[in-house]
Amino acid sequence: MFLLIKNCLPLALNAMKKKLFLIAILSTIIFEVFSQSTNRKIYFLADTINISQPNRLLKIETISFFEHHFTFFCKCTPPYKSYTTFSYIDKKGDKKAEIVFKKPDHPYISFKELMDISAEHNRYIDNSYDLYITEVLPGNKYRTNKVKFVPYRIPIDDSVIIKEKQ
Amino acid sequence: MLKPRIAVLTFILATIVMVYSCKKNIEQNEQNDVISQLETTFNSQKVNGLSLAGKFADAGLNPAWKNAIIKKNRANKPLIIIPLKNTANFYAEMDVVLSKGCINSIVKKYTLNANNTVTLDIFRPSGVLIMSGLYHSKYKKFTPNQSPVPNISLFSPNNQLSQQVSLGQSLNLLSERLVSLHTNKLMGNSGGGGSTDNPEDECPPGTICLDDVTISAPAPSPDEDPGIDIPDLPPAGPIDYFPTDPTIPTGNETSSEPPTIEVKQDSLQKYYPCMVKEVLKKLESNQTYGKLVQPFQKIQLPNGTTLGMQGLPNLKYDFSAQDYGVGTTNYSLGTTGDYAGTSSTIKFNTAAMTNASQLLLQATAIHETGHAYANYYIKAGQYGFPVDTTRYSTWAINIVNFESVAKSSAQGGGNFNDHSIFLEEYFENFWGILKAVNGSAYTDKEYQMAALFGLNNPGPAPQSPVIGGVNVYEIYKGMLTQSFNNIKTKYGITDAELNTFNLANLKNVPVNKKLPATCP
Repeated sequence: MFLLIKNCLPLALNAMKKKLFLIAILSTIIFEVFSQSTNRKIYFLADTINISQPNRLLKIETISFFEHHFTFFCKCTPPYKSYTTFSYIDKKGDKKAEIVFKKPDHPYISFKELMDISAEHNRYIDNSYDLYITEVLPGNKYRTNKVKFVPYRIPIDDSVIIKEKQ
Repeated sequence: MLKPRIAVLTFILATIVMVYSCKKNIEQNEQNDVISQLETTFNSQKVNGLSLAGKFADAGLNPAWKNAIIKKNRANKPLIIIPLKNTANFYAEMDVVLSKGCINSIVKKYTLNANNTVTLDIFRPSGVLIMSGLYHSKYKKFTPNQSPVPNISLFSPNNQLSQQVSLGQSLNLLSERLVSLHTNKLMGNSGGGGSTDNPEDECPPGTICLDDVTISAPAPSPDEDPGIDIPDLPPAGPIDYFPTDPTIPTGNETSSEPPTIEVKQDSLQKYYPCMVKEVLKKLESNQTYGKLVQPFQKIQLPNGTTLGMQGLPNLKYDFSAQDYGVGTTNYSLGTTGDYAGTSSTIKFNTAAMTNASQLLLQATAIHETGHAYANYYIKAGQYGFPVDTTRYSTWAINIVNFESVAKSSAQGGGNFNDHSIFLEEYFENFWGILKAVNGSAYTDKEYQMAALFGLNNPGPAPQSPVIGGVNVYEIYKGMLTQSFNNIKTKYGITDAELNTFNLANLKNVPVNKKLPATCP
């Protein structure tokens, strides 16, 4: 087993590292370009505790141990193939959001306002806005996290074009 | 006047003390009865014809029934903690929860490591390791290892690995090195494990607050349950918390065999059983391919249920209708998508499963599983838990900037990143798996051409590929094409050969090379 792993180390590693370095540089350029402006802070109150299930606008779920999703039941953002979703990640070393007993006094925007903003900016919303979602927890507790837009990822389609007449 | 009042007061106080004392005695007697019943049940258990108590004793674990304590867990169910072993750097206990009439139990082992960290390993009473990780004594929290659970048995001689897999920190857990101990507060009679008074406070970043983790598994049936009256059959579904509450159904622990492991096949198994039997199952027998599916493996318990935990990486195999040369020259064999954290769904093309060769379907399974693995790999790094490339990685690649790669992947689809990695790092393994599975049925060149299928496809262009006047997508595409051409040159494969090979394996494929029509 371990020999197999060692054999996985091809000589091309250095070349690959160079390519990945280039990818990282290009990616950095992309995101630096889009992160120049001062973002406007907006807040949304996500209540799944006091709203009956059929009337809920969203679901809150932990999709991995570290990643948490707020999925709004609205395909409101291009390319309109998936529900509009925001997420936050509890990374190693990150400070965990504080849980408070009083609803934070933020100017919360409505569901419609949030969807309008999402539709307008979609995957680039994080370049214009810092969205904070305050989650209502059981026992009248509240937790606020800064979230990021989760862009729709086109499924990877593995195909080839065949020349049928040669 | 004063004396009668004092007498009345004294009488009332004496009555309260007596009632409280009697109640406490009754409770104590009830607790002793429960522990006594549990001891009887434990001593009557057999594993492969051998006494379970004997197996525990052979491993140096002796239940101290007299020191057992009962307390209420967070779900207000009785939790019985039986100490098993307590040395300078080692503590083990058996935790039993009586829930809805069923006994659920686990064995927890805490080992002080040389670097003063504490490893917590959780076993089923049958000896199967369920979970392993680091225990933070200060916070009473647990960080499970991200790597697959090593196949270690509680009862193996000298606690050796029963198979040579994933040597991790868990190997240290049974070493008896004498080191100075300053975290042994957790090893007191309180049981040392898991619960805190304030679950929300100070859970260190990157750790899991155990009380949030649930196990989903059907409860054991009354016939299988070994002891203590069962008033009614509890419903299936999440049954308890873990591991503050032991939650694995004990069933009839008659086997010490390690659990079988399988990848979820879902509806593919139902509608395309031959794809599962002839392609996926055959590939799973290959050790190199096994590394690809390792992160997604489910642990199947001997009683037929599956150990599932929210948040674990999951890989689902499914199917869908995709392009296959009707009105187009595009032939798709499969897709990978529906990403959710570290989880993915693979959809094989229904037309391909009917028309393509088994060789190309095998290549597709490896290829798509590679995409799922790459997503898992990048996400794990993004979460701050990069896969240890020296031990657990399928391909030894170090992506340092997971954020950038993950973001660029989201922008342009994952094909460029993944296909680059396949070509640069994994191609030898890729066609090596095909050769190992099929032997001399095909030539090396055919295996190489099958492995190349679709690897030059960079995926769709992002919405805005031009950044600062530079078309980033075109740069990506050019790099990928170069890698693809390098492989073709290395193995002496021409474009015409590749096209002919693809045609022969996609259209008019002989029946004996396709999947069989039925798979009993």
